[in-house]
This record gives sequence, C-alpha cells and structure tokens, in this order.
Amino acid sequence: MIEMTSILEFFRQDKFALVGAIIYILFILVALFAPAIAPYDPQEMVRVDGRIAFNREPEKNFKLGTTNMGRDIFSQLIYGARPALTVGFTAALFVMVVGTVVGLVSGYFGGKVDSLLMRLTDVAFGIPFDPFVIVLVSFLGPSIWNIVLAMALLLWRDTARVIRSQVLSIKKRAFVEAARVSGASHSRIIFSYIMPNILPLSLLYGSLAIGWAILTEAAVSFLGFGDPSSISWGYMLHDAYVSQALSRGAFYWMLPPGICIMLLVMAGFYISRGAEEVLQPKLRSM
Amino acid sequence: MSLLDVRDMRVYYKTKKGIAQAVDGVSFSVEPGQSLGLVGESGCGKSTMVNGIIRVMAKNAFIPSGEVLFDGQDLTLLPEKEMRNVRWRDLSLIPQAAMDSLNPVYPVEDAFTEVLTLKGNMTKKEAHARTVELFTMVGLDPDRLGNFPHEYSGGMKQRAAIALALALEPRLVIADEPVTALDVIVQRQVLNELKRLRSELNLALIMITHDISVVAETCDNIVVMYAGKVVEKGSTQEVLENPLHPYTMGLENAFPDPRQQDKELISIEGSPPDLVNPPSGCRFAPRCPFAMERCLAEEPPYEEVDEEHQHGAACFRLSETLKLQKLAKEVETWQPA
Amino acid sequence: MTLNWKYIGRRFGQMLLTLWIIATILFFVFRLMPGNPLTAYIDPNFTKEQQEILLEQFGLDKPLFQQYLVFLLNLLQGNLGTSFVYRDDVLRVVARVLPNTLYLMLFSLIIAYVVGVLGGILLALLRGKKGETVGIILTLFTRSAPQFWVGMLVLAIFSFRLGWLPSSGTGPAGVTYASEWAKFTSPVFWKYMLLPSLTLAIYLLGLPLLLMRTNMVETMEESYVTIARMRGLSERRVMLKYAARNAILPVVTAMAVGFGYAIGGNVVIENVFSWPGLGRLLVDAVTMSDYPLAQGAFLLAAAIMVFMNFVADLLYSVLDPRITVEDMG
Repeated sequence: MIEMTSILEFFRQDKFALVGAIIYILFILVALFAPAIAPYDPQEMVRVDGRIAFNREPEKNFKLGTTNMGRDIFSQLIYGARPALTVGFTAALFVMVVGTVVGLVSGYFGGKVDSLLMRLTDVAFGIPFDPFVIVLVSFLGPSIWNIVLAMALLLWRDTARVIRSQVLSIKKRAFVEAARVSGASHSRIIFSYIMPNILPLSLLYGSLAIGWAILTEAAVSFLGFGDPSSISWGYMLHDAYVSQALSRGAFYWMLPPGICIMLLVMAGFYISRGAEEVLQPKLRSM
Repeated sequence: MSLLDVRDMRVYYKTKKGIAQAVDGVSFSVEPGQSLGLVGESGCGKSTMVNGIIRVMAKNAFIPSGEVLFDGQDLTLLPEKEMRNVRWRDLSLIPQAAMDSLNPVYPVEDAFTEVLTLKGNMTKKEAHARTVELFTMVGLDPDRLGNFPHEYSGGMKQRAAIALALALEPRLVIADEPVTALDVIVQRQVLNELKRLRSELNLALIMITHDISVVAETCDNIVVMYAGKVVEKGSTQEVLENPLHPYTMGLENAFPDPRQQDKELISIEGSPPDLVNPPSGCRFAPRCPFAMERCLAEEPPYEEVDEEHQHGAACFRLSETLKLQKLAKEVETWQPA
Repeated sequence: MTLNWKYIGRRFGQMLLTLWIIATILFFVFRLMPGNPLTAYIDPNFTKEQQEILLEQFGLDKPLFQQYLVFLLNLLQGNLGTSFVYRDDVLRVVARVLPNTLYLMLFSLIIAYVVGVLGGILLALLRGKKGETVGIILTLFTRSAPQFWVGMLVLAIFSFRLGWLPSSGTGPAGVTYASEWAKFTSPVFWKYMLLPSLTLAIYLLGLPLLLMRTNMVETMEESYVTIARMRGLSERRVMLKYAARNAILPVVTAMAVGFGYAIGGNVVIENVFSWPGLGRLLVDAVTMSDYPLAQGAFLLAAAIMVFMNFVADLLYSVLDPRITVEDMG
C-alpha cells in the first residue's frame, strides 16, 4: 500500500516528479487565491479615463494587456486556473473510478461479463474523442459540467484496458490461487489482494487523465463550445483567435494561456512518469 | 602453441559501491581439440570471464589487465572491427539453455542465413544447404527451419543454438551452462551430441557449469574457480579423484555419486565474498574448514603439484592434501564452527 | 509472413459490431436533443408539406423502434439525410471534404511515426547522457502543448509575420482544382498542407517516440540482442534488426491510440487552419445546428477510427508471430 513516507521519498528522489508537484501546488494556490491575486474581475470591461481599454498591449495597469472587449488578460489568466483544475481533477476522478471498476470486474470475473465489458470498451475506443465531446456539449449546452460529463463517458477506456490486463496477471499469481483454494470470498480477494496492486496503476492513469481532460476542455472551448461564464484558458485562446490576434501578432494574449496549459499538463506527465518507473516498470502506453 | 591461452586475466565492473573485481588474475589454456570444464558456483566469475574473452561485456565492465591469446593473437588488444571478425568464425558461444538466444520475430533459419551469408560468404542457397546440414547434425528436423523460436521446445532451442555455434566451423566453442535448464533426458541427449560433434570436428570446447557430474563425463581438463580466482586446475580425472583445494573437496561432497549410494551430501556453509571489497588473503578462507591464520592474511599463489597432468591449486596446505581429503569426507568438518 | 485468417475475420466482425453500436448510440443521442427530436432531420424552415414528406420518409411519426429500423435501413443504403445548410445529400457533402482530411491525417501520421520511431531509437541510444533528458523534456513539451495553440503560434509567426506559408484553405482563394488527382499532385496543395500537417505531426509524434524509447531501452537488455552481438554482427544490425524490430511492436499496437489522437487533433487543426475537411465540417455543422450533417460527419469520423483500429490490429498480428487470438482481449 502507499504510505506517506514512501510518497515523500518518491518525490525527493525523482526530480521530474518534484518539479511537477511544485507546479501543481503553485497552480492550486493561484486558483484558490485568485480573487486576491487578480487585479480585476475577468469579465469586467476595464476602463481607463472613462473609456473601455480595448486591445491594450502590456503596461503597468494591465500586465498582459487587454482583450478586444477590454478585459484584463492577466486576471483572466489567473482565474483560468480554476476551470482547468476543476475539469482536470473531476474528470480524472471519473476516469479512475469507472476505468478501474470496469477493468477490475472484467478481469476478475472473466467470461461473459468480460466479453460484454470489453465490447463496451471497444465501442468507447471506436468513438473519436474530441468530436464526441463537441457534439455532446453542443447538445447539452456549454457548461463546464457538460464538458466533464462528455469526457467522463469515454475517457475511462484506456484505464479499463490496462487495469484489466493487470488484474489478469495478478489473478494468475500463486498467492491469489492460494487464497481462492482456501475459500476466500470474492470481495475479500478483490479488496485484500487485487486492489492494493492495481491502485497505483489507477492513480497513474488518473494523473494522466488530468492532462488529457485539461487539453480537451481547452480544445472544446477553443472551438467555441466552451463555458463563457468561466473563462478557461482555452476560452481565452478562442477569444484571441476570433478577434484576429493572430494577424495582429498579439503574442501577449496568445502566449500566456497556452503556456499555462502546457505547464500544468506537463506537470502531470512529470509526476506520472516518475510514478510509472517506480510502480510499473513494464508499463506500456503513455 | 595452445589454441587459447588466458594469462592473468582480469575483468572488473564499475559499480555504485566501487569496483567489483569479478575476475581477478585467471590463467588457463586450452589445446586444439581439447575440452575444458570451467566449474564454480554462481557469481564466481565464469560467465564474466567468457564475456571478457569474446569481448561482449556489460557497459560497466572493463579489462584492466591480462592477455587472451588465441592462436598467439591477443584478443584484448584487437580493435572492435577485427574482434567482430574473430567472433563466431574462430570462436563461438553456446549460450545458457535458459536464455532466449534467437530473435523472436524471425524464423529460426534466419539466424543461420544471416551468419552464413554475412560472415561465411555464402550465397543464400549455399547457406540453406549448410543450415540443413547443421540441423541434421544436431538431430533436428530441417522441416522446422521455418518455425519461430517460440514454437520450439527448450531442448530444441538448445540444439539449434549448438548448431548455430558450429555454423562457421570455429575452432573453439564456449558452452555456457548449456544443459542446466534442461530436464535430465534432454540433458543426456545434448551432452552426447556435444561429445560426438567434438570428436567429428576436432572442436575445442570450454564448458561452463556448476554441475561437476556434467564436467566429469564431458571434459578432459577442469578449472575450478572461486570468487574470481582459479583455485585448482588439472585433468578431470586427477582433480576429481585427488582434489587438492578444500573448495574442490567441498564441491564433490555436494554432488551425489552413483558409486557411493549412501554418500551423505554435505553443502558448504556461507556465501561467496563481496567482490567490491574482497577479503585480504585467500578468498575462500572465510568458508574454509581448514583455514589457518596465514590464509586470512596472505593470498596463496598457484602451485603446480603434478606436472604430467598439469594439476595444481592455490592453497597453503598443499603438503597436507591426503589428511585434508580424509577430513573433507566427514560431515563434522563442514559444520559451522 | 503468415496471416491468421481466423483472427482477421474475428476482428473484422468485431469492427462491424462496434460500428453498429456506435450508429445506434448516435441515433439515441440525436433523439436526446433538447427540444423537438424532429429537428434532427427536419429543418424548421421547411414548409409544412415538406416537413410532412420528410416525416414520412424518416418514419418520424412512428414508434421509436421503427424509427430505429428506418434509420438503420437508410444508413445501409448510404442515406444519411439532407444537410440543412447545403441542401444536399449529407453523404455527398461529406464525401467532398473527406479526401482533404485523409490526406492531412495520413501525411501527419506518417511524419509523426517516422520521426517518432527514429527519435525514440535515438533517445534510447543516448541513455544516461545529458541529451536524453533534454530530448525527453522537449518531447513532453510537444505532448502538453495544445495543438491548436501551437497552430496559432505557427500561423502567427510563419504565415502572418513572415509570410512564408499560406494561412488557410487548400489553395489560393477562388482557385479550385480540376480533380482529386490534380489536387493531390499539385505542389500548391502541398504548400498549403505543410503547416497544418507539421503542426499535427508535432503533437502526434510524442506517443510513438516515448513508447519506442521505453521499449528500446528494454529490448536492448534482452539476451538475444547481446548474443547477436556475440555472433559478431555489426552494431547497426544488432540495434535495428534485433532491438528496434522487437521494440516497435508495442508502438504498432498503440497506433490505434495514435489514430484516435489524430482524428481528434484533426478537428482542431482543421479549424485553426481553415482546412476544408471533415473536422471543420463537423464543427460548422454543429455550430449551425445542421444536425443531419453533424450526424453524418460524426459517423464517418467514427467509422474511420474503428477502421484504423482494425488496421492497427492487423498490422500487429502480421509483425508479431507470437500473438494469439486471446491476447487481444
């Protein structure tokens, strides 16, 4: 089982994971203290000398300039951490729970249940992810929770397959055979023997899912299906794109949100890479 | 001139804890057509040395000193390109039976074709003919050449490995635990095969094993290694019937002897020393029932006792051999103090 | 190379099954639409008469199950409905843009996989050296940066600021190609495809690269690699034919995952670069509430995906003689 000491030890040893953890903590702090850090409300059309400050380049009052609707980019950036982390963690939770349960049940019970669940997983794999999220969100409405739901419906598939594989190989091991022969009940075998061995893998995929979820939300928002009430980084980029920031070369607008997304997703990769090597030297996919 | 003359060879490993002296001053020779058994427990350096001779070693291994004279040419000094020529043409290796020695995604024949066309200058047709010949020689069905390695049984894979080692008609073959992972019946078959091939092709063979009984029936001479050093050498018959070194005596005790049905099997207590910090003095002394104070302080030099059979050992108590041999046969001798 | 026909047949059957299930799911999803389910097929701007004709044609006045059968029947005949916006048969609208998407996707995949595999081998060979860490970090950048963002930056720099490459479409405005073949062989077309495909490739190469690297590191330690060296084979041969050839197998399995990313990535890239393909069509259709078109585009995207998965499975079974039907789950 994972204990506190071994977790701390792990972070100390693996520099990558440490950097990843620090980045996460920083972003979490930013998200939590957003109102205190951001100089303006992200939706507020700021005024200078009574006039709305459209498309300002970075200056003293507006550290990253303003959007074409006169909103402070820096404030938007700060507040953008909230939807990113919300989406990331919630989706990751779904992925972990659903994926693990499906993989566990499928791998452990085998037979018809396995076949059924695997066909289900096949279908999940057959549905192209981004298009599905787009279609679903366009139906259900551009709310952040709809995006999470759409992702959750499909994203568990990788985890399920990998967990199932793992359960299959654990099942074959001597100590599980021994437990079964000595009459241990299914739930006991699952909770005492199998769970502890797949939990690390679960967590690993969960942390990968955070990154996937953030990237997907960004893509969906960028295409215009995002939630306008919570301005995510993807939404900021959508905003920039449609207001011709590209041709104007407004890099002060285009770069920061993307960099934030990149950093947060990369942090997740750093942590899971380190975990991957420690927990599962034979782990295949990324 | 000997075919292979290893002189004071050393192979060390760079490890996090320091430099492991895995092979530390080993000398022996093999004449053309002769067979030599290299005996010792796991970790004594046999495989490391062989890897050193053929110069395919781990990244952190290196040869600090010593000579490996093959037909008079020092292999340790050869540039890699020339060493590559030597490999498989002049000397080859039969890997451990447990190892996957063939590329799993190509048919078995491919390994042969590759070596025969690239190093043997044969055309594909000639290579195929030769491969069939080799397969027949080791008792494998040539129809199975197109199969993949995973479709072969353990015994078949080992025979294929033997056939492959002989493909270019080398003069020396090193067999690394060729039969250890096989069941007894297959073991017998493979050993017989090796014997037959040796006499037909006048092959020199170095057989690495920790199983004395295998050596007893296959090898002309024996080299006993312990913790990276040679502790005893000589003709097989002499060494087994008249062991000079306490370690050899101990090894014999550990193996069943069909001639002595009720022989009690005695094992040697303890484990091999740490090669990064080897003990000063004789490396076997900590486990040796006959160790004196001198043994712990000084390293005994190798001394040849019987010139005719080139039999010798590295021990300070060579003069008391007969007494020690008698004591060695008793269980009490080997009880921990 | 032997082909396991039983395995292929089985996988093909599974593919069809999956497609059918997806179509069914699609059917029900479009029925979930807020508002009148009829709007999935009938443009509210039609006259009452037209609506009634369509109502009958799609059996929308009948019970759900019958509607479903009608849907399936239509599907099998290639009738995906009529696009509201284009006023044309959905299948035809989609078929017009499909080649563009395929070119983009395949071209990007090829670049990504070639660069990825070679990069993976390179990183494996650099193991333990500084170059390795740098290489890994760079690769992780490509996996964490949103592709549309990279696309935006690429456009802003190379297209708008430097003016080296075009910023949208498959050809200069107002120019149409004489035929598919003319387009495919026109250097102008490739000039337009360059930026979008490179952007997509950058995103895609991360997976094969890292996977190949991990596998190479592992296979390089395998005994058959060391023994191949002992046979006096050249280092290059040992690295390629023994190590890489075995290391690449899981990369091929993962190709299915790669395709998934490619299709998703396509949607976004097509929109950033205004590339007239399936992805852009889908987004436009959804935005304009052209449901038949959205449904058709989505179905086609799914079909491509499922088919690519199937191809990846096939490829793997050909490359690895050891797998059995059970292994694939």
